[in-house]
Amino acid sequence: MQSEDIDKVARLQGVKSALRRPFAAGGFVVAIALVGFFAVRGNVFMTYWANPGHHDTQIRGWMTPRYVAHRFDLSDAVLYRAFGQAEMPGPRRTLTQIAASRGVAVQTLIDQINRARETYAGDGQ
Amino acid sequence: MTDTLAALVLVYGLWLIGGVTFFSCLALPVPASLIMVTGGAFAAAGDISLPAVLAAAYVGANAGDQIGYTIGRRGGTVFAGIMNSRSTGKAMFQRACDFSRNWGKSSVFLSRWLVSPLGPYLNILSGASGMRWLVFTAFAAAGEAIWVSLYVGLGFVFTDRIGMIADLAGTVSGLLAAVALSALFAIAALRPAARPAGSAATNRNRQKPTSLA
Repeated sequence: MQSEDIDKVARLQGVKSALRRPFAAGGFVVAIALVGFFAVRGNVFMTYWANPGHHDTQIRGWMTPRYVAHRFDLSDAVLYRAFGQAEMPGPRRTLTQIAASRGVAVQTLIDQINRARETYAGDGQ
Repeated sequence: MTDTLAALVLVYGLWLIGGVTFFSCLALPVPASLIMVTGGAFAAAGDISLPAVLAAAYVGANAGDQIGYTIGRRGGTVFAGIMNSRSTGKAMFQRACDFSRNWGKSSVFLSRWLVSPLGPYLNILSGASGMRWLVFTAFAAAGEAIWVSLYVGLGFVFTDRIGMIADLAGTVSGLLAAVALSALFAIAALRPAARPAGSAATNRNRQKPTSLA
């Protein structure tokens, strides 16, 4: 038997084998479709996150004072001044919650922190 | 979405983290990776204790695994009875059990963290195929330790990249799981008709010789 014939027989055997097992063949098709889906999704995410504009570089209402200090590399002293008090607000309180308890808009609080960042930047903090 | 989840992590803390990893191990569509990464980020900031975040996520994940295994164990007999009532189902169930016996330990370990979307199904399969509880628990617990420390650790280190890490890690995990599934189904579809003696598929295939040679 020629090698081409052997290849042909092997292919036919593969096809017949797959047709005899519709569950496995169907599962394979679905799994390959999932590979395609995740490959496309990964590509979309990579493109999205490659854009620096999509990284959250602003202070947001969901952040906590400690998180802001850690993420934007601010000393506690800067935040004390921003919040106008002698100690850091307690943990696990978001800026939105703190603003609400003070009866001010969260943006007002964020502006205060940003002003403190600018004022004390390079000040040894 | 990050802001809502972050606020939830802060309000409900460790209960939320443990609950989410618990339910994700039961195949419920909860954002476990994003929650763990967020927990890690808040731990880095000092809002939540790092060991507590790790412990909550770890306990939740292992509890979920145990529930899945128990469901497989308890329901396995009933399920086997249903599958065994049909020759195709019997062969399929037998192959699943064979797979669990041959590859059970490594697949349980890897499906905790590398191909985590497959984890919940392997929990049930492990229970149904009669994998010993101690063996399952040991390999699952080792795998969960990697899963939890990987995601919480990434959040802890890359505090400013929470959304990106969760998106990419979830996609990579899903992609690897889909590749693993494709390989398994391809092997199942293309395997030779002749099977070693004693397997349920052997008799069926012998009755229908299909060799072209």
